[in-house]
Amino acid sequence: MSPIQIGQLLHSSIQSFTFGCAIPKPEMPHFGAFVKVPIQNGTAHAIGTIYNIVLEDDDLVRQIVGNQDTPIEIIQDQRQRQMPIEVSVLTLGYMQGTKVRTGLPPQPPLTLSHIALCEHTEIAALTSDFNFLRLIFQASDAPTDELTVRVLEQAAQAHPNRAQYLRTAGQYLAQLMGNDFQRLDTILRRLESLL
Amino acid sequence: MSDLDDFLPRDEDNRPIGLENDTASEEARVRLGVVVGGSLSKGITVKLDSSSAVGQTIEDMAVGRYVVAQGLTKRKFFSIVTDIILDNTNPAIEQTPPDPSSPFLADIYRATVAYGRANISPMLMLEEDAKEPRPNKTIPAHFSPVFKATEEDVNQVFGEEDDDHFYIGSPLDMDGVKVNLDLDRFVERSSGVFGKSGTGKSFITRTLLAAVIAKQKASCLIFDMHSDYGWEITNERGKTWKGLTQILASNRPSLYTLDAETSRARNNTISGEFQIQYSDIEPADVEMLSSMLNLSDVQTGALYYLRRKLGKDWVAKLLDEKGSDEIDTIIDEGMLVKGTLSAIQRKFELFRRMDFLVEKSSNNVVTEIFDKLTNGTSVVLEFGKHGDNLPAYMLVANYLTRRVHQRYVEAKNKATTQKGAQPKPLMIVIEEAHKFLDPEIAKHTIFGTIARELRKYNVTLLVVDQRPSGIDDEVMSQIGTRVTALLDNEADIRAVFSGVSGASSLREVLARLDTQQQALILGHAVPMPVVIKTRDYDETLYRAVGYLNEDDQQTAYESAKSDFDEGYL
Ligand SMILES: Nc1ncnc2c1ncn2[C@@H]1O[C@H](COP(=O)(O)OP(=O)(O)OP(=O)(O)O)[C@@H](O)[C@H]1O
Ligand SMILES: [Mg+2]
Repeated sequence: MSPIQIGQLLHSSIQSFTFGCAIPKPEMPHFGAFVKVPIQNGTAHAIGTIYNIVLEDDDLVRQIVGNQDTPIEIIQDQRQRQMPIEVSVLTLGYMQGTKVRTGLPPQPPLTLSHIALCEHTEIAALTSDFNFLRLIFQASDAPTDELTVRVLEQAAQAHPNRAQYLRTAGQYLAQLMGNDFQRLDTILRRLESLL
Repeated sequence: MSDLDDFLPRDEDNRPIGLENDTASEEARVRLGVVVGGSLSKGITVKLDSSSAVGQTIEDMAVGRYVVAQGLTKRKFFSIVTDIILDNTNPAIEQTPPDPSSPFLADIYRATVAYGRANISPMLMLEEDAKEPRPNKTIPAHFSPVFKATEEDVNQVFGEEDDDHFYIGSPLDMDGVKVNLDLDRFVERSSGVFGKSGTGKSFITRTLLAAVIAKQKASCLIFDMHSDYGWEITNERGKTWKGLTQILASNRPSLYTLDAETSRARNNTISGEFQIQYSDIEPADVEMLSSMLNLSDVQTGALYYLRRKLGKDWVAKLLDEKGSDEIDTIIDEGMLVKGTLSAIQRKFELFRRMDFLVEKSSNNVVTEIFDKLTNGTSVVLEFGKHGDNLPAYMLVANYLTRRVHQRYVEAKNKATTQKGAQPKPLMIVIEEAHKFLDPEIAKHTIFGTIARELRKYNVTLLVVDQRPSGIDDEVMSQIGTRVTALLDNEADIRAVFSGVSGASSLREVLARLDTQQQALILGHAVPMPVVIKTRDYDETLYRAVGYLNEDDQQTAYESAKSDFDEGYL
């Protein structure tokens, strides 16, 4: 089974990359999803999580927006146009063969590389320790707290005992951000609601 | 190993440690936490592990519990838990504690932001290849793991049970594990059993005496105030236990009584009645009662004068209601004012109720008792109805002890100068010891002397008391082994620890013992202080000291008979 391709790389750095894709399907791409992209000539993959999805406007959209009642055909036409959606990914780890490590990859992915969704086993391997949470907390332009909750939600599904996984994650967070009790408490309450 | 494993620590067999349940195996050490700070002088701080059973590590932790810190250089540090503390990394959690209806949050906080700490006092240290633990001069390094003590740990410290080491109880929550008391060291110096009323002092004392006598470590002279030691004991709920004279089959103590009527009614087998002739009482025997009789210094001084003037029968003469010329002369001569004399006479009235005081006694019971003691036979002196009469108890204890001690001194001196046999060590057991050893009188009474002269004459004390603060400091500091049940008075607790360095951390332990059958033992006869659940005083113990019940007797008889039939005898 070949992985589900969801887009192609626009630009990248060691810490993050952005890819473009066509009009999204209802379920993909979504905030907090785990994706991978080949690096180093396809000998390895960078793995990350989607932290932002941007749709640009253009002149036509601006004109249409002015109308009070845009006919439904026009809206659909507009959405059929080849206008890329920009998806930003925070790199959390990389994979050589089946070996997955957290941390930043040795090289960034090249433009036009294909982006694919991660398999359950890859997600499980990447999130079996919680070091990836540190990278999320260090990201400067990602909505850290929200992203943490969504990423843990995805990760928990890849582990056999969801509740235990979330509890252990919660303990890690409590150590990581114990000095910011209000923020910690908010995140933990969100995790609790996922049980 | 991933981080997840750090949260789920595992032992070598990859079993989670301290998580889920401890079923795995009895030997598996239960980890309690890690050393995070502290000092040699003030004790060590341990951060407690979080347990999967909510709050278990903290709530199962008990002051007085025996734990082992496994040092990083393979040294083991045997320690006692002295305090348990709830702590947090962020005080904000005290303002907004998680909702109890939300176990998820509480669980997470309990393992991280909020955690338990324990203070432990390292007492002994065992080097990697050493057999014997030694007092510790260092402490376990940072992050040394701390475990519940195992049976093996306890045995390493307290040794095997044998003829010199008697099993007296088990560490808290370690039923069946034996803490053994070194009997030779126990009788080597004076000892004390302390505790509030009803905490089990008499039971502990009886156990200790059974061991000392059965193993022939010393002859004991027991002033049995409340008939606790000699014959059958009945508690307020009607349960009965056997006394020393019943269970010690081979080295049976002799039972003397001041109240033959009661002893006979109890069906006790007595060796004799204890009586004192008036003419044998000396002023020094009475002087010890001065505070109880409210004798002023002048009156006390007058006793000696009266003895000199009136001769051997001074007490009888003073008690004689008809009066006598002799007494009139004393007043006439002006050596004594009438007020002093009649005060003394009034105060002596209480001798009339002591019907063991007699004009003439047929046997010389003091010599009889001394001979038994020097031959290795212990003596229990039962007070019967006089048990509640403290002046009677003190008079007799003082009277007999002074005379026995005097003979021991002579025997010892003789043994030293003529290289003869040393007298058997003697241990004198007194209850309400603070009455004998209070600072006012300890300096010049026989009991203070015995405590202070150590075992110079092979005589030591075993004091039983519920108010150790009333005992003279200097005497207290000579008490080598202290067995202490619950005490709740601050002064008493302080007294028990006087002269014991580094004991302050044990105060909390002492104040929190159970109200019965738990005791802290520290001092000469144990390698380190330990809190025990005292051994049940029951059939098993009776047998351990040589008691033969009917079945045993039958078996013994049959084996002797078959030896006989086979011609061995
Ligand atoms: N080792 C034991 N085995 C069995 N029962 C015990 C033991 N220790 C204590 N007890 C129980 O505790 C009760 C009180 O013990 P004990 O008479 O020794 O107390 P005490 O400290 O001597 O009290 P007091 O100060 O009134 O003399 C006993 O009657 C008995 O029921
Ligand atoms: Mg008692």
